[in-house]
Amino acid sequence: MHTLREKRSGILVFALFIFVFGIVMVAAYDSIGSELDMDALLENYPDIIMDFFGGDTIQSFGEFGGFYTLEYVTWVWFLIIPAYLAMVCSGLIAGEVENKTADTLLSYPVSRRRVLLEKYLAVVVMVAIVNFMGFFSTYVGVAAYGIEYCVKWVGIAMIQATPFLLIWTAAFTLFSVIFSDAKKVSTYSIVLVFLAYFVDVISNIWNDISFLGKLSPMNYFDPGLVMSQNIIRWQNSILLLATACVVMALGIYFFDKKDIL
Amino acid sequence: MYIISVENLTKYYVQRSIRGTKENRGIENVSFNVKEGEIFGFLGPNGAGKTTTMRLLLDMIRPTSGSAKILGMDINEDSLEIRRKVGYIPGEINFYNERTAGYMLSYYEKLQGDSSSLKNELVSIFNIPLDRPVKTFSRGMKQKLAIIQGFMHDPSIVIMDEPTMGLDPLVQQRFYEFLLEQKKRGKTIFISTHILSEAQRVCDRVAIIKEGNIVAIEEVSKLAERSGRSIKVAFDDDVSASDLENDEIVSIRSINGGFRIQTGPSVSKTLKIIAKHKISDISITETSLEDIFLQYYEGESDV
Repeated sequence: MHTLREKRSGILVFALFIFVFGIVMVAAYDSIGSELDMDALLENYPDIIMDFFGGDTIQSFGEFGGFYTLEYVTWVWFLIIPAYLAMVCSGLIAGEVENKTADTLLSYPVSRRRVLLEKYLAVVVMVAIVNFMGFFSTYVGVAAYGIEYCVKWVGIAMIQATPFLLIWTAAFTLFSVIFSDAKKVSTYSIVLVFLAYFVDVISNIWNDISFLGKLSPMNYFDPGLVMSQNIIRWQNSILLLATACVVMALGIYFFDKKDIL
Repeated sequence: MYIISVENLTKYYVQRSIRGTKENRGIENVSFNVKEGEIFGFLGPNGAGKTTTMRLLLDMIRPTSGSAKILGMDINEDSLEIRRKVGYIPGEINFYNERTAGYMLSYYEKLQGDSSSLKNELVSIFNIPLDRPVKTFSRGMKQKLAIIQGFMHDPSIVIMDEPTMGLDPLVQQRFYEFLLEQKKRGKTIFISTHILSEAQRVCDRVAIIKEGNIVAIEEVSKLAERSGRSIKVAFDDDVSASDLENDEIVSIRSINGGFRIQTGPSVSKTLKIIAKHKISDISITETSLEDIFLQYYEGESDV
């Protein structure tokens, strides 16, 4: 509760950003996307560019699901939200240790496991809020502009986004446990997000290194597949969720062993 | 019955870098016992190992070797149960600065899991504005808030790391009175300090730690006996240490062409001897904690 209260204003501003950005993208589709022949336009782009923007599994950019994946979901869920979570998670443990608030906190009868899990759960709530906002802004936008699209698919993509963001949260929390320097944690975390994105894109282009793509969480969350082709792969979500649990277990293990200096 | 018993507790901090692993000394083979209902002082200069010992007792850092028990419970195995019964005032305290003092105390109450019976009494003793954000507090105000949180759930043991840092003299006095009152109520207090007068004022016994090692454990009354005078004197004529020797002197050392003489509470004989010589400079001060350390380390053998 305390962590949520501390981050309350930040999460509200960020959720508002997600909402407004979503509405703007629906409006953009309404004014540009439906008039331009997006498929013809994007066909001229090299594959690497299309892959870079997450367009490899999008069936048609002319229809709403494809356009919205390309212009909104890929950017925000692959890069912006993980970067935001990296900054939030950096303070979870490293911030407490750095600011010396951990000393008092851990002098009370609370186990380190409980401290870490409660802080993680606070971020899980934040993840739920941003994912809901992603769905809600689409729902409002699609209804307001009278776009023919079944928003159920955005809802499913947002549900699948949850384990995807949870694995990032777990990884950043682990960093926050290992390094007692919040700036270092956020830097390493953001570098990891961009590296994973880059690895995912590169491995899609060059088959020789496609195995590397399997290491990237982006490989297991494909909003284009859901929103454009309406194909659901729950097994990937389960895999992400299980990995997030393993990473969190590592975080608890290291936090339990850690000297709070 | 010993409330805290520490046996050969050792902590080395491991520093890993690309150049290799380096071990820095925290404390070495520290052993002492704290009796029920006493105020036990932990005296030593900065970096001596006081904070390391306290953090080991609270399970914030883990020992390299040795063991310690609080209320008969192992500091690592039974840490949660120990923390239920112990209050702690860290040396370097910080709070969530945007929050009010009242919010912080409620937060600690929730962590403790039971009502804080002494909260209101402590707030009135230390006069803290509960509705003000902590970021507006001075160092002293934050320290008062730290004291309140350490005592408010009425623990049977309180561990305090230099608790009077930043307090003004008036509040310090109030704090000492409060400590003595808590002692009367049966609390066991383990307090670290580098202020000798503080230890003399409130402690029953003290352990002196230097460079990670306990060099003495004494009752304060005995420590006070050592707390005589420190005389720094330089002469124009040729004087040797043996010329000054008498039964008042605890230790004598040559420094910067003169002498640093440690005496007991009486200095009359020493001053008479000094007066027989041609004095170029002289100063007489109360024995500082540093002087007592010197006595323990080297002074005694210098006489």
